[in-house]
Amino acid sequence: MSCVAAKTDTHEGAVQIELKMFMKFKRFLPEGSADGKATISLPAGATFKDLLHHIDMPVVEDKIIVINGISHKQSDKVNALSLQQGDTVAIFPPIAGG
Amino acid sequence: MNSWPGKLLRVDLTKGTWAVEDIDPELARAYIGGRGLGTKILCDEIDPQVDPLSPENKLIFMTGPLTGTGAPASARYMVITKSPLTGAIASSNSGGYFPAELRYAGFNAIIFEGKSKEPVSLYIKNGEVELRPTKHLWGKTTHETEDIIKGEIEDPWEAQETRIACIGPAGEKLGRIACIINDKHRAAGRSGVGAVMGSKKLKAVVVRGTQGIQAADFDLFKKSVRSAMQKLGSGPVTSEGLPAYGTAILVNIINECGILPTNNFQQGMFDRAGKISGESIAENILTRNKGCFACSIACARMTTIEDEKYKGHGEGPEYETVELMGADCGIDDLAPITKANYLCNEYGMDTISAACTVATAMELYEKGYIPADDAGMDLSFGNGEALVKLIEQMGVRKGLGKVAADGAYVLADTYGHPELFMGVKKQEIPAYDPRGVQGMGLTYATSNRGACHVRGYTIANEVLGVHEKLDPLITEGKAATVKVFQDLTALVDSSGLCLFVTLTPGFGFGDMQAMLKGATGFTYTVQEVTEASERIWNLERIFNLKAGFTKADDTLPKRLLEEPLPEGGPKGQVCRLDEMLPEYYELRGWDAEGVPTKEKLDKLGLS
Repeated sequence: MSCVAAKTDTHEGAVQIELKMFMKFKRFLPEGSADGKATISLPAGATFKDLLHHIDMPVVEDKIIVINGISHKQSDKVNALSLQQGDTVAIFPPIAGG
Repeated sequence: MNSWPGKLLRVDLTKGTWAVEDIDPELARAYIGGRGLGTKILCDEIDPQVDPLSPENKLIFMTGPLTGTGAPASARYMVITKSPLTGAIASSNSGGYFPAELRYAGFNAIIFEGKSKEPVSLYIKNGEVELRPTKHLWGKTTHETEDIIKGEIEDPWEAQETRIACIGPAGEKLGRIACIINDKHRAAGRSGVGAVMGSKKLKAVVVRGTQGIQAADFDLFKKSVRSAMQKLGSGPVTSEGLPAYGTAILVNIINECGILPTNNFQQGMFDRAGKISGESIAENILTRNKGCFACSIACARMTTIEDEKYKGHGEGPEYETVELMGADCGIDDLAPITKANYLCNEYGMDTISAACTVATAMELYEKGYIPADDAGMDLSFGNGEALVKLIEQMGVRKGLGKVAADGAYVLADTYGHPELFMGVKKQEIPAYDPRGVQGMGLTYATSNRGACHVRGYTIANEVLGVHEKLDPLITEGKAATVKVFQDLTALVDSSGLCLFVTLTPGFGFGDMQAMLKGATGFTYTVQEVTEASERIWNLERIFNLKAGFTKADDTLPKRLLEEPLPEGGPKGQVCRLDEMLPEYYELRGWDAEGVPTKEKLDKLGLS
C-alpha cells in the first residue's frame, strides 16, 4: 500500500521515488502510508534535499541514507544528489550493533 | 580488595590441585589483560601444534583491568585457548555478571591445565577454592546446570548472587562449535571453546565474591570514566538505537544495502527481512531489555514465544543470530528462529556457527548432495521446523547432527562439497556479505580466529558512518581502516570493556588510555596502549604461523571472490581481496607472505 503525495502530483515531468522510513523517522511519511513506505512524486531535477523539504524532515537531522542500495551519511554532497524516476530512498536514524 | 594485575588461579585438572600465583606486572603492562595477556600466557605455555582437545591444551579465563570496575560496559572476560574448530588461536568474549564476580571472588584469571578423569566443577568463594566432583551435572543443559547448582546453595541471597559459567551437552560431546555459557544466556561463543572445556571434563565454574576492586589512581579513573560515560550517554547509537531495538536493529539497513546473507550467501537481499527485524522483535516477542554489568546500553532482549510448537522464554535473538537463522536459512518466522536460539544457549552452541551450519546443510540438501536418508527431514531453505530439529540434533550429536555438531566446514567436506562452506580458517562467516562491503572481506580474511565480525568491525564506517563515512564498494584505503579497527578491538577486548563502547562517536585510543592508566597505575601513554594493541595482534599471528597457518589461509570462499551479488546496490560486485591484502601486509610490517618482519618484532618486543 503506498501513498502519493498529492501536492506534487501536478508537477510537469514529475519523478516518482519510493521512500522507506525506519523507526522514529516513520513519522515523516505522508499520512496514510503503510509498511513504512510511500511513493513520493517530486518535480524533475529534484534533489535529496528537496525530498527532505517535501516531507518536512529537518535537513540537519542526523541520519543514514541508503539510495538505491548504497549507504551515505548526511552531507552537502548527498543533499545535492539529483533523484531519478524509480529511485529507492531509505532513511534510518543513526544505528549500529552486530 | 582486588587490584590489577593481582592473582591468577592455576588449576591442574589431572591432579585435582591448584595454586595461586601473582600475575607478572611487566607482562600485564605490555599485554593489558583479557585477550592480550591471555594470549601471551597461552603462547608461553603451550605448543601451538598441540591437539586442541588433548590435555596438553590449556583453557584460560582472563578478565581485564577494567572488568567489574564500573567503567562503562565493563562486564567482559575472555576465554583463550587453541581452537578445535580452526586450529588457530581462540579468544572468545562474554559479558553478563560472571566476569565481574570472578574478580570480586579474588582472581583476575584462571588457567585450566590437563584433564580430569571424572566430571568436575570449580567453586570459588572469596579466594577459597574447591574442585568438586559433579557427575550429576554431566549431561545437563546449561540452564539445568545453573538451576541445580543454585538449588544446592542454602542461602537464597547467596544463590542469587552466585555466578556460573558452564558447558552444555554440545561441549561435553566435543562439538567443535560448542561454546561456554555464563549467566544462562551470555556466551563465550566462537571457535569451539566449549569443546576444550568438555575435553577437560570441566562442567562448570562457580564464583561468588564480595571483595571490591581498587583502582590504582581513583581520581584519574573516576574522571576518565565520567568522560567516557558522557560520550556513551550522548552517542545516538548507544543511547537510543541499541537500547530501543537491540542489535537486530541492523536487519533492515543491512538488507537495504544488499549485504544481508540469504540462503547460505547465495543472495544479499531477503524480501521478508522486515519480519525478522529489530522492530518486529520489539513488536512481537520482546518482554524486556536487559543489560550486562555496569552497562547503560542494555542491548540484550528477553523474549517469549507463545506459539505452542516453539514455546519458550529466554534471551535473544541478537542480530547475527536472527539474520543467519533467518535470512541465511530463508526463514521469516521469529518463532522457530528464537526457539533455535534458546536451544543453542541451552545445549551450549555458538549461534553464528550453528546457524551457518544449518544454512550449509540446506544448500547441500537442495542441491542433492545430502541423501534424504542422511537428512532425515526436509531441509529446504525456509523450513523453520528443520532449523529447530537440526539444532536439537547438533546439541546431542544425533542424526545429521553427528556430523553437523562439528560445524559447517566438516559438514560440507563430509558430503564432498567444501566449496559450499562459507567461512575462513574453518570458522563460519557472520551476517554481512563482504561482496558489498569490501573492508569486511579483508577483516574476515585476516581475522586471527577465523571469520569474525568483531575483530575489525568496519561496518561502523563503511555502512553506518559512525566515526566517518566510507564508500563500502571501494578497496582504496580499506587496509588502513581494517588495521585500525583490528588494533582498537584488540585493546578493548584486553581491557574488559564491551566492544560496543567503540560505537560511540569520538571514542578511541585516548579514552582507553585514560581509563587503563587510572585503573592500573601504569603510566600508559596513548602511544603505549596503541603499540600494545599491535603487539597483541602480532602475537596472535605468530601463534597461528607456528600452528601451521600460511598466507593461503588469509582468503575467502570462492563464492565471495568470484560469484557476483545478483541484486541490490552492490549488484555485480565480488570481494576484491587481492586489491587490499598486499597493502594490509605492508601496513602491518609483514613480508609478502604475511610473516611479521624482524624489524616489526623488534619494535614490538616480540623477538
